Amino acid sequence: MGKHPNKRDAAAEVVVVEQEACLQGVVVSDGLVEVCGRAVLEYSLDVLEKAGALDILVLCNEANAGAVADAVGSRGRVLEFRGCGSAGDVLRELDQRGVVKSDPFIMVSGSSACAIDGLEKVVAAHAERKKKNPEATLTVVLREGGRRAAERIRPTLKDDLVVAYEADTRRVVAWHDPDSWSTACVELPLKVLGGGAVEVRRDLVDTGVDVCSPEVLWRYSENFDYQNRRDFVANEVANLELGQRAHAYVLEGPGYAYGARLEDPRGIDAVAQDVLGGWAGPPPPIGRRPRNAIVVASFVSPTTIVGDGCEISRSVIGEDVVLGDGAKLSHAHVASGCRVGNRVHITRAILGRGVVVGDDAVVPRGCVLAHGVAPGTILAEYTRLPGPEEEEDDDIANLRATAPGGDPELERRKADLWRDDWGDDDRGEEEEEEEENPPAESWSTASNLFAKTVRDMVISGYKAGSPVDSMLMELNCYKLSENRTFLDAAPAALDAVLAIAFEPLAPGASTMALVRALKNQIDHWTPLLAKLVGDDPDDQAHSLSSLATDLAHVHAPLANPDVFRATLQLLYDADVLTDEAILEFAALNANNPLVASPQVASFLAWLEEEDEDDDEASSSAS
Amino acid sequence: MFHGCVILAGTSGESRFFPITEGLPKAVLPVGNRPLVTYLLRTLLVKCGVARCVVVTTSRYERAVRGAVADFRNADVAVVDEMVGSAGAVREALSNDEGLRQCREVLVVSGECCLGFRSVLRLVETHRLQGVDCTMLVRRGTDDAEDSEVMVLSGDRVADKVSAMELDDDAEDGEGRIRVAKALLRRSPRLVVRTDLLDVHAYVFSKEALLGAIENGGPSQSLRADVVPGLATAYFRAPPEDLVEGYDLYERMMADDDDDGGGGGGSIRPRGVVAVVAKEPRQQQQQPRAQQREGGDAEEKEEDDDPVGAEFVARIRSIGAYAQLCRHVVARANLTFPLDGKILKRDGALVGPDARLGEKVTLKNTTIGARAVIGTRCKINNSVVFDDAVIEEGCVVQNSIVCKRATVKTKSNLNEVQVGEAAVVPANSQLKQEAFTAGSFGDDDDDDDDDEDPISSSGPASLG
Repeated sequence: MGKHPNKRDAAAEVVVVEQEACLQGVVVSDGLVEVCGRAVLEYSLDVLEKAGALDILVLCNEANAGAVADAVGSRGRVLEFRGCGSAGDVLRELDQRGVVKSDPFIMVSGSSACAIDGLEKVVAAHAERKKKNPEATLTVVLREGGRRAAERIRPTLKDDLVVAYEADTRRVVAWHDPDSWSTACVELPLKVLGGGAVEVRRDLVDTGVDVCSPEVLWRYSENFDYQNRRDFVANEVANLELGQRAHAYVLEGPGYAYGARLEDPRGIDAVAQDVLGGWAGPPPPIGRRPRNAIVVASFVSPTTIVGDGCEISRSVIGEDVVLGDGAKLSHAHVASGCRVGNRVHITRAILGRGVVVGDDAVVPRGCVLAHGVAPGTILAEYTRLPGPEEEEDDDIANLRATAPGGDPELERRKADLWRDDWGDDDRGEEEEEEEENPPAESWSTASNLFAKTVRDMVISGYKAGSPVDSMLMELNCYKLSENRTFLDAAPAALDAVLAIAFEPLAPGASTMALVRALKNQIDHWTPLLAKLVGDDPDDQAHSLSSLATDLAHVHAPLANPDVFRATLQLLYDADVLTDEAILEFAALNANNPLVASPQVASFLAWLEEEDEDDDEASSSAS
Repeated sequence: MFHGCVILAGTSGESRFFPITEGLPKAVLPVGNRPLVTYLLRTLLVKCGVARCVVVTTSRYERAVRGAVADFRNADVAVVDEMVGSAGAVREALSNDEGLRQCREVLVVSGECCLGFRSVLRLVETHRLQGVDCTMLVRRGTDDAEDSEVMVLSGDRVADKVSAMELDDDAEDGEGRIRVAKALLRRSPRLVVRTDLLDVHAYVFSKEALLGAIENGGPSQSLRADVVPGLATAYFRAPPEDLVEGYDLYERMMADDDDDGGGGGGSIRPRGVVAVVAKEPRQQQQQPRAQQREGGDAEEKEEDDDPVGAEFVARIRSIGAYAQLCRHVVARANLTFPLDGKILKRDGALVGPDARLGEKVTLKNTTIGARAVIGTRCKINNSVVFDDAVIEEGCVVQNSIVCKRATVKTKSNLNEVQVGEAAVVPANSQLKQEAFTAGSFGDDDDDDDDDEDPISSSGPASLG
């Protein structure tokens, strides 16, 4: 009798161990943005380890593989994905590779900064539900933000999430993400309510942590429209016919749970404040307490040099930062390697790696700097550097050239093909400007899938060495299938051509080198571009406008008036653009600094003369 | 005194109650041989200390209602035009009755409700504690699809209330959708949409709020569909109470409006509507005794004292619900509540005065009206027999209702049948789920005469 129960216990234990051994964790993306001196990725790893995931897979793209591997160390396996255009693509490939075997597994999105105790409960609840209802394949973990937290984060975090779920089963019946739904109302069909109670909540924060069954990956594979997690959840929930397979788990009540996604600078600040506060977020890191300065609720890296009389409140100061005497920082996020001059004031701003801020400069709220600020500069609120105005300021341009580490970072981001979807955080500060800069957003965000696809088609076609004629045919088919015109594709194709021309060149390449590269490419692509842009001067002017506004933001060389002028001339010489179109474009965009620049003005003057000559010639001929 | 009550007893339920309410409002249907409304009046006037009750009805039903109300002091009958809506009826009652005008709070209860005193007290107490414009009683249940409501709640505060039928009718594809505005969610980030609650049609209003809401209402204004949802949404449209500055501004704004428009009541800040969920009725009905045993002695006595149960909440929306209520009262008559002396409990039935039962009659969960005649060897189960009805010998009547002066002839077998006033069911009928009215057998007048003998012969004989 005595031995019997022991045997049973042993058997039970073995079973438990087997189950746990199966539990896998997947971190989608490479959250290298730092919050309080730690990469977001590390928080994700903590959560997975706490939840008992023994096999952790970190998915990243080829550009970041090295850095991610460093951050992950021996805590998990790094899987590298090449040529994936979106998180959806990565998950589809993950499904093909067949490495995720556990049911359920935990998936953490890269933009998620979280610390959750008791995620194993969510896993258990998911497994239980799945047993009863095989359709219940996704459990989304949400955090009760509370009214105040929600209000604090929301105004700029695009995270204005409205979730409706059945009160008893927690089945999600509506998921209104501002990205996917911009309606003023949440509409619930009565048949969905089914005679029960449905909670409709706007006080929940999506933690970016999901407990999934393998079917989730299958469904990514089945549906190529799923580009990212938001697409996926919103569609799964909206699909009444398939039975709404997503469930919600709300972290609430006593216990330690925190989760938030980093969507923009204010989100970074909000999460950092929670962490520094130490009562809601992950445990605050232990930093330095300099004696010659006042430090309130802040993290100061041990390797930072703090000048006398600094006042640092609610800020995060990274490694190897030098703070000058009398600097005042409040809600400042200073990445490693920055140099902050004497008596500088920084309020609610983010400084990228290695930024140099000159003495007596003032960086007011909302500024996000990737490049330096000259001594004594008083920036306007919400300044983004590099921004559209940056070229006009020679001091800053000079500083930028000398700023250590600024540009390689930018290059890395550019190479990052996942930027649209993989947690907005991993693009870092530099690209956040795009989010709040409407003209750039108008075509370069994920929402314009068409433009992105065209761009990818041109670039991949070029790399594969396809002839231009067949590329044109391919584009024609695609635009027909999408019910678009060639003109819609023109800006994206131009973008691709510029990318092909500029990307192989070093950042500091001379104007001559840039123009030469551009000439080669435009010569190569002339038939395609001419077809896309068409004959109508109005249409051509439209394409040109995108060149001057949107593309100049993405392709830094194009913002150089010399290069821009050369581009116009090359396109004119190649007969892609007519003189009428260029002049019309100039008239429309007279305020654009590029158009107003002397180089372009002289070209336009030349064109006009040419035009008049032509007119005269033709009139005299007739 | 503090509160008065308006009971709305102007409808007969028309098609739903055909044929048993012909010429009767639902409020005076006999339940345990007494008009339904007397239960409500007893609860309100005797148990809950309501100062004044006005039963509103139309001229058509005035006599029947007056008869039912006559026994109660502090209760009166007001007659309104048939065409005024429920809000109009309340408006007239308030303006014409001195007693009601002095009350600070007004209960408005539908005459088809049957409420235990504790549920009413809870409603009134909640109203006072919350200090709201209106408190409504709801009960859990999805048994009444036609009457089902979609309620949007923020805590226990009602943010919106729409009838599911209306939503379905409004939708283009006939499939209703409830819309929750995101602006509302900003004001109150956690809402619950419920479809499992039914409006009992028992409300407590603060008098000012009620007057303000119904003052300028049109003839079709309804309390349920217009006034209560209006008060509910007004609260969420006003700035939150914790925004003191906004609050002041709002008050001032409303005051300005008043000056311009001269409308009264507008300056009162909306305080919203709160819903009180009645205790689960099924539990009470299935295990009344078990529940009482758990309660203390005093409570038990109080509970027993109430003819329907202290927490009881029911609304007679259909014949089925009516029959259920009748059974409930018969079952509870086993307990010690006083039976008015004249009504007797016999063989699992309540038997009215001067009713004549034949030999070997089996009664179960049944009410027999005054002066009714039941022939020998009849079996009557789960049924209601109104005053002066006649059921001749050898009949089996189950789950049925036999109205006043109706006759069921010999050896008929009725199941789920409603026999209208003065209707006659021929001998040897085998009927299930049917309704009879006096006109159903137009040619039967002669038969009646022919069959008069068996009645007179079997009737007195059986009484022996």
